[in-house]
Amino acid sequence: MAETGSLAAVQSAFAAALEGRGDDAIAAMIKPMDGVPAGIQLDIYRNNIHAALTRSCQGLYPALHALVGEGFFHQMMRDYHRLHRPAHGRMVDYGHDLPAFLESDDFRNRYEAANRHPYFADIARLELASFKMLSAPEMAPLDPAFLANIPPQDVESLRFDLAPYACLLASPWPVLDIYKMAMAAAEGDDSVNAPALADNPARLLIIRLHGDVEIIPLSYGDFSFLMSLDAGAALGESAAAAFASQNDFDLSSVLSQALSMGVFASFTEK
Amino acid sequence: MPLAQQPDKPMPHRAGIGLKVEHYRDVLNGRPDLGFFEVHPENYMLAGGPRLQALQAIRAHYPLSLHGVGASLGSKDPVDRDHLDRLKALQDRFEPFVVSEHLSWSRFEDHFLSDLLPLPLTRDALAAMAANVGRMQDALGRTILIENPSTYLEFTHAEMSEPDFLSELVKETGCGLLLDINNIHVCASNHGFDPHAYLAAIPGSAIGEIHMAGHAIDRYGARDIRIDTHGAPICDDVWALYDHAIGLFGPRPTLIERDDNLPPFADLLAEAQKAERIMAGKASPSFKQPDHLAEANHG
Ligand SMILES: [Fe+2]
Repeated sequence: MAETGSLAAVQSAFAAALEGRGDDAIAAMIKPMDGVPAGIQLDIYRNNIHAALTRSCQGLYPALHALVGEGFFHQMMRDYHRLHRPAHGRMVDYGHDLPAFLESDDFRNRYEAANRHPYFADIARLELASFKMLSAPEMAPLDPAFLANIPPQDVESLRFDLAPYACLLASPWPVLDIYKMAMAAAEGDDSVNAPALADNPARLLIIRLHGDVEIIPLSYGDFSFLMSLDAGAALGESAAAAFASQNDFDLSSVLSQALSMGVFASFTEK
Repeated sequence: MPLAQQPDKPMPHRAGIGLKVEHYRDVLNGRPDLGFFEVHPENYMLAGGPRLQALQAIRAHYPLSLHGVGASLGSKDPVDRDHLDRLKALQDRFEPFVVSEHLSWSRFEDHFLSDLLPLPLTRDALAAMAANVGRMQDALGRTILIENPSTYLEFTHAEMSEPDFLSELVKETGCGLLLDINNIHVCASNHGFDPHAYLAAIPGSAIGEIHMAGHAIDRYGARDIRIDTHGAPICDDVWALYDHAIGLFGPRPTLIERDDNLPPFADLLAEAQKAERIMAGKASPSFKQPDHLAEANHG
């Protein structure tokens, strides 16, 4: 136990009060403020912390915020903050556990809406991936001219690495359409219709292009192909997987589009 | 006793604005006549992308100040190495004319309490704070400025006043001070001290920068509690205190901080111009404009 009044004792007691483990220890060290109970003074700090964390998550998840509304978002954030406290002061890294939180029993049991809107977690995943791609390292994309130097018989065995600013996301829900609807609503435009939820999965490429993130819907075949490459399979094997999921899969078209967009950072032979 | 070390880059005796993402376009397209910009380095601790590139583009035309909010120098534990490394990388890339942090703490063991929490003004706290200021200065290879925060409570066992604590910190570490005039006003009102006496007790030669901001007033029962929000225009009382401080200490780089309820950029520019008029007025009385003229130009 830290010595009474020491910096360690103050910080331990203050942290306890801010994290809801009781005000008594710190209140005994607070100089009385004319007419204001210590709990009210501490509330100012509690409110500031909640506001800072919530502001940060709202910036990261604007579509989710628009979908659930201000009141729900704040309540949800109180629970999230209690379970996922920041470990450092870099708020750009805070809130990244939200998709998992939205799928947790803790969340589902507490919020009936979570069961009526099962796509919340995937919307958050889409927004988090967009932020991560936006702030990914700078890297020159693979120059398509490299292909000219590969003997045709070796092309099948090429393996490709996705650039750090590009990733793939699949969801059983039409998350891109829901995302667009929510962002339009956030701007005051309620005219965008809600998409059908049944049998309407999303297969998306999320990529930073010219300093902006683009979210591009892919066909089943194109998505399978890129997923397979991203998992480390060779080009021939990935194309076979794509043909299996879509019989009109067009290898040369998807490859040239991906190369011209800069989806790949590098390749290896064999 | 070492004198407060001078910052290692020339500092403009001009006004600047806290740079927000929402301002990038105004700044890059309009190239406003401002002395500098200031950012929280934590917002730029990213691997890449347009935010860093916009800052680089703006830095090409303006001096930059890095004003940290995440180092938690007042914690009992040593400042996070990883954080210092990231800060150093930003310093190397953006070559700020000044780096600053707060007289406060946020980190307790492995928890980060995301606000600037008040320190007990004790010898014990001074030793911990001085050690962390030293660690940060060593890691960055420069002196830093430490800012007085807004506080909403004081501790019964304080052993000195805040100006005395800051003076001791300057003596022990050679750091400079970032004097936030709004925070002095907020604290003076919340804790009932005389802001002029506070200013008189500050070692003026250590002041490397001044902050100006707006605040909110909460009411509890019969009394007001002032809350530092950076969400409103700078009030007249804070301008008057600024005028007094510039009279005492001379001109200093002055930042207009606005983080919430962002007004049109022109409104912030008008506040920056007002600060520059006050500085010019003190430096050379013939340039002083009557206050009503300054107000007419405002916004
Ligand atoms: Fe400040």
